[in-house]
Amino acid sequence: MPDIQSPLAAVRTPGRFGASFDAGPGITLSDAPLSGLVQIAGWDGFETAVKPALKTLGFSDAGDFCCSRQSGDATLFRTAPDRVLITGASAGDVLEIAGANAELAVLDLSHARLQINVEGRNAEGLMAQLAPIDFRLNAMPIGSFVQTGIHHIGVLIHRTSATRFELMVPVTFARGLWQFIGLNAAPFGYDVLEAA
Amino acid sequence: MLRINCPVCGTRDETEFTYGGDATVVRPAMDETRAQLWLDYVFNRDNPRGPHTEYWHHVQGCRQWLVMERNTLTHEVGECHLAKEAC
Repeated sequence: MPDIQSPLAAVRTPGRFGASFDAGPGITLSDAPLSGLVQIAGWDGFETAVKPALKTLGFSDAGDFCCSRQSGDATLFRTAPDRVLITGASAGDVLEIAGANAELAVLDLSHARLQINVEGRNAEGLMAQLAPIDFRLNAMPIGSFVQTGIHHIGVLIHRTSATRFELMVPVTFARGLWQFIGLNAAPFGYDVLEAA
Repeated sequence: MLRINCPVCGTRDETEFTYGGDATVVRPAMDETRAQLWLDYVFNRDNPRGPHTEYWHHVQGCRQWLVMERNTLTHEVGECHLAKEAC
């Protein structure tokens, strides 16, 4: 299988950009290919139909619409009443069992999304400029996620720590989003890390 | 700016949604032969001043179709539920 290349390879320039502060830049930007990403969708009775597939990864059910679930290296997002996303290297383990169920529609999306990481003491401030969501820690605690739009592009934003957000973005829009995020990060000062 | 209470995602800004049309329109039976009923269904819409039942699509969120009550005079948003659920 060919390696998945980052769509940012031609535009990502590691280094320090934007405003300069004594405390250093307030933002660190990086990207990482998703080690695995599988979407399972269904119709009425989805929760029952998807249970055996989720069980193989250690999830007891499909979860809820605001908080991710973790099991080993797999992360589960309930993105709609009849749809879930699973990320992580083991996500592909569900392809066979879920794919064998005619009540489910299974898609391997590993090649279709890129993860952009926004981290730092000003991460909340930057995110507030990007999307119309309350990103304060009490409104969006660690482990929660939202599906929203940045620059009119649908993204999934997952908070993994008080100062870190992971954005799952479509690879076809990744370059435009990367540049848009960089423009908004400039007033905070930001570092761009080498490719993962 | 409207704030829409998506039953899946919670309260979100209107910018995440697209308007999907009048939710009170009912398609005639497929064997209906009266042209006026099809004309009304396809082209003619009321333009109410006040409460209105509408389809909205949460296109940048959960991508679910919603049925929402909105007051066209005040923009006040009322009850909102998934279109696939019974009213």
